[in-house]
Amino acid sequence: MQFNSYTYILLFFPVTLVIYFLFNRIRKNAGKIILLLASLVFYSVGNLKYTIVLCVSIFINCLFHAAMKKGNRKKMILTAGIIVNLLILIYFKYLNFFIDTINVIFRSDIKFLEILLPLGISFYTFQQIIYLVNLYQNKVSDQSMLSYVLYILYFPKLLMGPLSDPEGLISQFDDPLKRKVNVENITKGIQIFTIGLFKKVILADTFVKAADLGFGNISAASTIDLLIVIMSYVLQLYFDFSGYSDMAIGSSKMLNIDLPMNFDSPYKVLCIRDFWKRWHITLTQYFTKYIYYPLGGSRKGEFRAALNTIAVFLVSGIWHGASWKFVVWGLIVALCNILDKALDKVRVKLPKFLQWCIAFLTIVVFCILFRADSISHWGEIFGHMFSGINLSISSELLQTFDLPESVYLMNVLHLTNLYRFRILWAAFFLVSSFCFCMIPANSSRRTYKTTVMSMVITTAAFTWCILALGTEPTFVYNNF
Amino acid sequence: MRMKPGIWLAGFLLASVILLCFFGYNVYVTDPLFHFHTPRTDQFFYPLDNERFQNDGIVKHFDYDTIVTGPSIAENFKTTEIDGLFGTSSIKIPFAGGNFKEINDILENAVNANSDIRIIIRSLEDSLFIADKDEMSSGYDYPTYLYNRNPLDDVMYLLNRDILFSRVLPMYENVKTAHFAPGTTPFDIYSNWNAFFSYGKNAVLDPGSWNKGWQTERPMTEDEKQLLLGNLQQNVIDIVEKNPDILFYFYFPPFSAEDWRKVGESGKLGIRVESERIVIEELLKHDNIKLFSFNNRTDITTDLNHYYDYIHYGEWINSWILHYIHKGEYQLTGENYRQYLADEYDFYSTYDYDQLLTQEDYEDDTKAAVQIYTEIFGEDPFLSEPLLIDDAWLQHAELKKAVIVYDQYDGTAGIETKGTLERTVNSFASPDEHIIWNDDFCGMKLTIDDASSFRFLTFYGKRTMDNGQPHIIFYDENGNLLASYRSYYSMYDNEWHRFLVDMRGVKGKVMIVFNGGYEDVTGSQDSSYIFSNIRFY
Repeated sequence: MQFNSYTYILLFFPVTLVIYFLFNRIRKNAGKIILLLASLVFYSVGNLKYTIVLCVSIFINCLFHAAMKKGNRKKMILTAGIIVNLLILIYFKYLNFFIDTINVIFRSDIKFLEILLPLGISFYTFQQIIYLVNLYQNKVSDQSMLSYVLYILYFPKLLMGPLSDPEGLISQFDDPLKRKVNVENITKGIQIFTIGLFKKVILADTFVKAADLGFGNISAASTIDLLIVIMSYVLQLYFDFSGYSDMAIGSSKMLNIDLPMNFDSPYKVLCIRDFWKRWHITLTQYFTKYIYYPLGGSRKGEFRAALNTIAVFLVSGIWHGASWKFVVWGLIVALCNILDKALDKVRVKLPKFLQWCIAFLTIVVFCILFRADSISHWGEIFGHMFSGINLSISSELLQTFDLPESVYLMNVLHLTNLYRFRILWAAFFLVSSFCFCMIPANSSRRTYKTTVMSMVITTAAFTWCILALGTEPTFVYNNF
Repeated sequence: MRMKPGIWLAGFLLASVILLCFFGYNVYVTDPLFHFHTPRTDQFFYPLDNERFQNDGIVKHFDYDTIVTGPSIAENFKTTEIDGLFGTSSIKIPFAGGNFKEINDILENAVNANSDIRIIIRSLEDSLFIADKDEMSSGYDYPTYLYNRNPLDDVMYLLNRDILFSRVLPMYENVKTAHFAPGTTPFDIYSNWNAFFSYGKNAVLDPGSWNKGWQTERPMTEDEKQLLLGNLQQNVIDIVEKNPDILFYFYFPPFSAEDWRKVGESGKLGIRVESERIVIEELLKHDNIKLFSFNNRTDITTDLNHYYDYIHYGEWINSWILHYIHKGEYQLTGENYRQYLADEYDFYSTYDYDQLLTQEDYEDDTKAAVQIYTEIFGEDPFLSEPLLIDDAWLQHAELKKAVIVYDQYDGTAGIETKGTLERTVNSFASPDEHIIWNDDFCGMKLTIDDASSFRFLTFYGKRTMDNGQPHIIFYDENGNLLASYRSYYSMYDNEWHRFLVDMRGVKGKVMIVFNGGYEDVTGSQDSSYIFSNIRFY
């Protein structure tokens, strides 16, 4: 199930919310059981076979928990548990990547396996590992099965995070004060959720059309087209992911459970290192805590710190995708981070605007590689961009910014120059979206007031987003 | 002004519910996809332009007793022609790219919704026989919420901004325009793509892809046979057996020889013929099936001037099919099907396909159509004395953004249009034929007191500048849309080309708009087009 769906917004979540608080009044753990059942439903809708994998993962980890609680050879059990979890992840996500690599190196012809990737497996595997480590470190006060399973399955964060430490989450499930309805939290949660929904269905889902069109046809793109396509992707990536996080945080807020912030206006940064502290924050924290620090962090000198940074970003790269492109991406990001640190004293002397430009352009380069089909495709994009200035703008690209509302407006106003209007509209859409991620306070930091204005704006945005969930694709297709 | 959280929440919920209900109500009232009720054709105009979103509503809420369906090759059928031949009231519900299951499912919905159905006309494509019976057509965003009986997921229709802004609001806007005539897009026009393509070997063939050698034929495997039987039973025969009072006209569509060549090249010619045998034998067991095949009309299948690609033929072939189905010719029976199969295999396995490369590609695409219509009518319909739209007619026609010109094609008079038109953005039927053409056009409007005596309209047209292109629209005296013919400037050079418009479905007093203007203000204002030698046969 997706947050941005009729089923979730109009049925699943309202019912879960009501039943959760009702059952919280009955007995202590009743609400937790409701959340658990709701989470299973959330995950299983449309993905029943993946639920089996999730349940197997939980079962295996329960065995490790039971063994660890006995107190003997805890470190060995922890190591085994981490390895088993990673092996499960490797099997589903990376096995065909390894097969492909072996085939390339040894010129063999090993066939790929037909393996479907269970939804959210990267996230819940990491959560499993976090739980094991915290259990090992005696940082989990409530070690009951119910609390553990709920920690893993809790639906607002199950598929795409934010990642969270067990104690922080479980203690909230157990907090008696949080079991009662808090209307103020509900109003805040609605506002945060609506911001996330808006980012996803109005902004990200529009930018993705421009990005897909452009990246699929680089050779035909003009200079301006490429700039539009690249900016569209940069914004799509942010709005899609941060929108999802906002919806997760907003949903959880309504349940009185606070999830950690995951995006903190990352495009506002003045240096690359800061970017990774603001982009997918919980993942960065996870890698820092469970890879960078155990490797020594920056305690063992600059050179070792640089190597550790490379290790972290290589893992991050491969985590994002099972291909060598992502390995290269991780390496480039790591090198940029190292360079950024090395040139820190020079950077801070520059005007802030220049610092921002350098940081943002570097982010754009990361994004292009992230989106490119391959390293050579990435090269093709840059090559095309600098191969000659062409200031035309493709009509087809401009039409990707058409919203049903803007098209209706064009017709009602009887506009005579559609091309010019579309240029203005696309520019407005791009600029205002960029301003939206640059100017207002981050959705996790801002103050949410229950004013008439906020109610009107939230209602309008929410209604618009609900309508935007439905589409009617048109077919102009005569193929048999 | 601050509010208490409880008041804020109540206000948000109430306002959201009211707004969403308001939008949903308007979708329900207009119901542009006919999901809830019959179209309010006394109040609104309903464009028919999205098969997968509208066909289900059509079968449930339109008034009809006959259905014609199939994939894209069925899109050019004209229901006026079917009704004229069979004395029926028919609808057309094609699914471009549809497979047997998809088409069967819509027919099941139809028979469940309408007990008055008496005839179903449906194509059975050789290439779709061997398929998983439960697999739906791939590559389409399927609006399952319109097809199931779950009322809860109707929210995806009621609260849908595409529906709201692209259909509902324009429907309300259209009512306010002058000369508004409510109704629906005529089925003759619905999905018809005949005029959008060029026909002939240059369009069909890609000689560079020919392997010049056939693979060794292989027999049908048992798995393939089981797939075929399962697909046939579930997606073709079951509905026949459940509805003994409905007469099913099935036919094997006459794909071109190029298609047969491709099949032969892949070593599957024998499988195709064997598939037909199995299908024929199963279908002939049922009294309420009439099965036809035109594959042995090799004069047609080897003449690529009837096709724009290896399987898609012009609308004149659809007329030809209907003609013979009605007459009962080329029907497969228990007595003749074996010989039919033998002849079919014999021809397509031995035909010299290189002849396809050397045949003439008619510059005038109407020539192939004329041949077929001559066969249908038993005489060349264009030998009769036509009504020529001479300058006397032109002087009395209503002209807008056009002037009368003389000494055009073959010395005849005509009109030259100049300019473009406003277009409804992103409209599939562009511009809205039912509205804009009544009010605004680049060309002329003629009135014919009785179109019933005419079967065809021909003219010679020439794009003289930029984006000029022909678009002919037929209205009744109340402004209701009856038929249309449209082609695109990009298909033609700046030379004379002959056009043939089938107007057999047009009866009574009609207004005909000849528009040569580009249907988009982004087109050049200098766009111009000449219509001349306009004749009604």
